[in-house]
Amino acid sequence: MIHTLLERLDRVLHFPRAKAHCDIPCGIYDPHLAQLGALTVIRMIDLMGELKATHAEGSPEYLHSFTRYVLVKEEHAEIVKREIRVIYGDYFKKEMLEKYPELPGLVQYIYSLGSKARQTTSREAALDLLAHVNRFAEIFWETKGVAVKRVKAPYKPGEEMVLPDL
Amino acid sequence: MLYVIKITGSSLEPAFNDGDYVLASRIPLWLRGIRAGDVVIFQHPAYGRLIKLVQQVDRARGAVTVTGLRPGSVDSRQFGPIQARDVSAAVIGHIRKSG
Repeated sequence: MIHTLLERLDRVLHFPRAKAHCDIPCGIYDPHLAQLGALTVIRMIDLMGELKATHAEGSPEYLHSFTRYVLVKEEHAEIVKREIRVIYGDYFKKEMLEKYPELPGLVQYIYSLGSKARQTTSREAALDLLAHVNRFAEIFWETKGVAVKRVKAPYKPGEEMVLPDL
Repeated sequence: MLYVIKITGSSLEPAFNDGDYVLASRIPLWLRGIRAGDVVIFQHPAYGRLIKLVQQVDRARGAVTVTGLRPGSVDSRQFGPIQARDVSAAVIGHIRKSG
């Protein structure tokens, strides 16, 4: 309440500013990259399945494409883990964790699902990863007072994403 | 001798967040000088008015080492100790941004 009052006074009196200066662009966080990472993992698993229909298993073309899909899946599962780690570690504060007690467990689960996405080609596990990253995004936007919407990604694999409803 | 100052930036998080207000005064500086652990407002020639945590005070040289609370903080690790005379006030109150 006092802060709200000061904000109103500030509009009229223009209180001086003091910078708690950082040398990096602070405050720019968005779970979108993690969501794209999870969608990419699903897409790579789908492409692996589709490959069997178009190429003879074990052929040079098959092995080449399959290897590329594995590499991209590995990379994007790591992107998911990295993005979640950065937002969880740098953005979320103690008060937010108190408000969302599920968060530490959710993050831990996303880490383990990210590892599972690397270790296996389970589409079910990849969908589970996306679902939990979406829940993380939902909490993230809620802490910023931004409403969210659930939409189907407008590209393959066309799975659901939580996006800010701006 | 009481100022209301708004914080911008996040180098003092989680103690002081972007958008918080602080009450700052010169009086503690007159009465007892600058002490380690104070959060102070000072003028820096390159960065302008800054708010940082005092880490160390060298009274003989009038030098004050300041720091932030985050790894990305720009503070005495980059620009060295500041002059005690450039410190304009110490924080004596804190109004957190709600939510």
